[in-house]
Amino acid sequence: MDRISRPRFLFFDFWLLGATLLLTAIGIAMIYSATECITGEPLDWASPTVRQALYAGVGIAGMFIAAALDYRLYASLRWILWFGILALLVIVFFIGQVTLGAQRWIDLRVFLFQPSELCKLILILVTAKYMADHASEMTRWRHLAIAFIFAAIPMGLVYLQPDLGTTIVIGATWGVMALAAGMRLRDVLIVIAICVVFAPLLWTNLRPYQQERVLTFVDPGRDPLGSGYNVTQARIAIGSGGVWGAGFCGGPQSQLRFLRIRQTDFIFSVIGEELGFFGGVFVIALYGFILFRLIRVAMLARDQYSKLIAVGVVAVLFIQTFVNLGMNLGLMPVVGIPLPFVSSGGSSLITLFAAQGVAQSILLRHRELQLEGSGRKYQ
Amino acid sequence: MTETTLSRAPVRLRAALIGLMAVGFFLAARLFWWQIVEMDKLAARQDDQTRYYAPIFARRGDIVTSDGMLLATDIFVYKITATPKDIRNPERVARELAPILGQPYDAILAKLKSRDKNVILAQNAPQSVGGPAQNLKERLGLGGLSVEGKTKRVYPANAFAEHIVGYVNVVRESAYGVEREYDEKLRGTDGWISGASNAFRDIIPFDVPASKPAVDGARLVLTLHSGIQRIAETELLNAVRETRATGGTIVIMEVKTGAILAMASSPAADLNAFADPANQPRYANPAISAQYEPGSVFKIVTVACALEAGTVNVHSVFDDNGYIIIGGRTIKNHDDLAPGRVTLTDVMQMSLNVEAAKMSVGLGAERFYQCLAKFGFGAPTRVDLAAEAAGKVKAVGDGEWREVDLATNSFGQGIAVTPLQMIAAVSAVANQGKLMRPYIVQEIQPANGAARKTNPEVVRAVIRPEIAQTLTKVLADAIIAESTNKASVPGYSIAGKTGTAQIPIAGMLDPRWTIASFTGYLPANDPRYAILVKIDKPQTSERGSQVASPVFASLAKQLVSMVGLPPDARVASK
Repeated sequence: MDRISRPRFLFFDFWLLGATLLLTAIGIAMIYSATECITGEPLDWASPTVRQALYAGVGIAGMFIAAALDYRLYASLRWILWFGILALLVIVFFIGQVTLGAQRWIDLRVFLFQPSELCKLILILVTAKYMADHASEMTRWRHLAIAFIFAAIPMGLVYLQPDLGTTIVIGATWGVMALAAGMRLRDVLIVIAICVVFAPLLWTNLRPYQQERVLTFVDPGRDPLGSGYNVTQARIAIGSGGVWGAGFCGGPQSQLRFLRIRQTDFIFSVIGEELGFFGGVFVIALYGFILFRLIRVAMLARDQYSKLIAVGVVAVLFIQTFVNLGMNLGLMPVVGIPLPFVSSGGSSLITLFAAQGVAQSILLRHRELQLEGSGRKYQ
Repeated sequence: MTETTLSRAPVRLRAALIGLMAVGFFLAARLFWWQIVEMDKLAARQDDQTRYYAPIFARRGDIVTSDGMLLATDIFVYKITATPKDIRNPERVARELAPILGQPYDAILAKLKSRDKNVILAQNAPQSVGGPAQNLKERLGLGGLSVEGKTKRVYPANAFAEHIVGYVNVVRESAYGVEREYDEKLRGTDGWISGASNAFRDIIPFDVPASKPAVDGARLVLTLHSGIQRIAETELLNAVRETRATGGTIVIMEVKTGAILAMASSPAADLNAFADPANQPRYANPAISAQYEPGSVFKIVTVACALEAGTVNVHSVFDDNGYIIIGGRTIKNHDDLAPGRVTLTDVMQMSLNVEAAKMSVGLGAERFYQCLAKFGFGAPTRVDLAAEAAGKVKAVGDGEWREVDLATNSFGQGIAVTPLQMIAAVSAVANQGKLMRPYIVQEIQPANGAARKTNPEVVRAVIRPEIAQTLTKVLADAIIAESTNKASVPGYSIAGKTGTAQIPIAGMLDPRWTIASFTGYLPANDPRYAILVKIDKPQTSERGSQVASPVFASLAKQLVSMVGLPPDARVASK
């Protein structure tokens, strides 16, 4: 059945790519507004704006490569991929760059590589294979447990970096995929119940700064110049943007540097301030559109493996977007998760483009069985 | 695929789509809430935190002597600090800062890379450092670098004239002297600047900044002459050292105006070193705040009062048998003198306590104390210096006064005066009987507006001019009559009187220590300058005539040559 045929570039989703490129362009513009526009430093190779543009270029190239490659390749390479990413996550502990108390990056000279970002995509590809292979058995605890082990070991390593945000994203992505793979809602509720029971245990194991963030989320006023500072400044930034925003490079909150970590975690606040309500809604709509196009990929996917991959890509994108926007909008605790395609950062951007490439790859090949099959059409 | 998963999947996908849209609306609703409903409130908070308001410090006015010597001035000093986490390119910043700060590159880099929240790169740096540092900050847009300028008071003359100048501390509070007295004029009016600022409190050209310029403080020109003050300080220092005294005061005053030309006290301290607690007791000005019993020099006042009242005159002859009993107490002359028949000049020359006591008793308490008050005793002179003491004159019926006080007060005992009160009173005799208000600031020059000169102020006519002239002649004759008088200045007629006062301690007089003084003026024919010399607790001799008179003579000699006063008397030849 798995006869390899030429992919159909006819099926390439230009709407998906177009929306993503638009979002990436907005991201680059807002990074400029949050950095060089303020400092007046030249746009050289060290500048975040230029680097982001370069990463976008690399990402787009990666996207096309991933689209060209048959996604089934990853199924056969799953052990190499899984052990490879484990190795990278372990290496980080030894040669990783320490920044703000976390050891997350490997210095590749030209670029600080963050394996935990790549890990998100690899785990989708690896766990999707196991879940697809045991599609009818995902109601059974034994297979759920095995599928979870694929995710749990890297999650543990990421958590130890420490990077709570990425750990949560990976875990939640796994959960969505498991649901899509047939896990019973009843079982999900049981897992949630167990989590609630063990939450106090987790709480005591959180680092003080992590606890502080959760508490700050509950009450941003408790420490206005401490961890609540960013939450308050984000709110003022977005709120003062009003309907139309203060204009590009014109938001006092960002330009006057009240807003910290503004080109990464809080870039949506810059968007809110400078592009206003319409700009913000437009960006949210773009995410909605991209997610819709990816869900479409999941619906068109011709087999369980590709369907689960697509679901994983949708999940990881949705979760990150929701957590980041929620954080900017004061609906979530501050966990350092970048806004997909927009926040400054190469590892995240390139991985997301690659993930989209995998989704395109699924699209390009979804009709192979349909040619002599039922003739059921989706488009 | 089994039936269950096939049937379940589309339901879940549909649920996911609906969920997705719900989340999208939820986020948009939140945006709507903040950006449209709460916009005004949040924009106001934004305005609030970007509003910047800073004072522009006015420069405190200079204080200079009448001949232009700078005694106090304001300089700008800079504090340069950095917030390491906000410095993106520490190597470059360190490279640029090194030549500006004159510190090694490595030292600066280490600070810029430190984990501290803030690091101090330079403190009290001069304008030649602060200016370029500020330029660098603006050129590179360095939010993490702070260049904070402030004014600092410095005293280039250090301890010179310190009791007159006073000082201003680090929080710009004034203490003592002209600094304190003229604080408001010197201070000027701070301006302000308001505009938009960034999170690092740097003013940024986001808004048109509004500002009100500072008005610098007025420049004060003192009556003090640096040359005369230098002479006074040098002579005082020598005298204190030679007599192994604990301290002393010299005041030189222009008798016709009340302008103070020199006012020196010992011990003194550097005005720039006010932070040293050991220096603190040395900043109060003894010339206006140290009250003491003047002793025999006070006889000038007593005689003036008696002459003015007519109870004695210049031709009076006195019979002094060496004692008088007043209020049950026996008053004696010093060294138990009993000279018999004497003239007024003799009374002064021999400094006869008994005759002085007879004069005050002859006047009666009411007239005597009224006359003292007219001379300004018991009240501040209203000199324009901070923290002036009033002195202490007991009054009849105040519970402290005894009958014997009337007698002892006449020769300067049981009465407390300040050196400035004493010289002002003697100057009144020198100045045709007119008491002048002593003053130290001759001109106030505001930063904007016309300069204002101080007009000499006659407080009151204390005695008639002819009485004043008579008394001056008596005083001058008394000095001439005593050929060995150490106050004499060859070629110049001088008038004056010594004083040797004991120091009251706990209800009695300290037998060991005295305050030796001489107060006089010259030239006697047309008095111009009054000089007070007061030496505290001299050890070589307790007598004013031995300790203070030579200092007066030396001062007078230098003074006349400095001001170009021609000799008015024949050089006494022996």
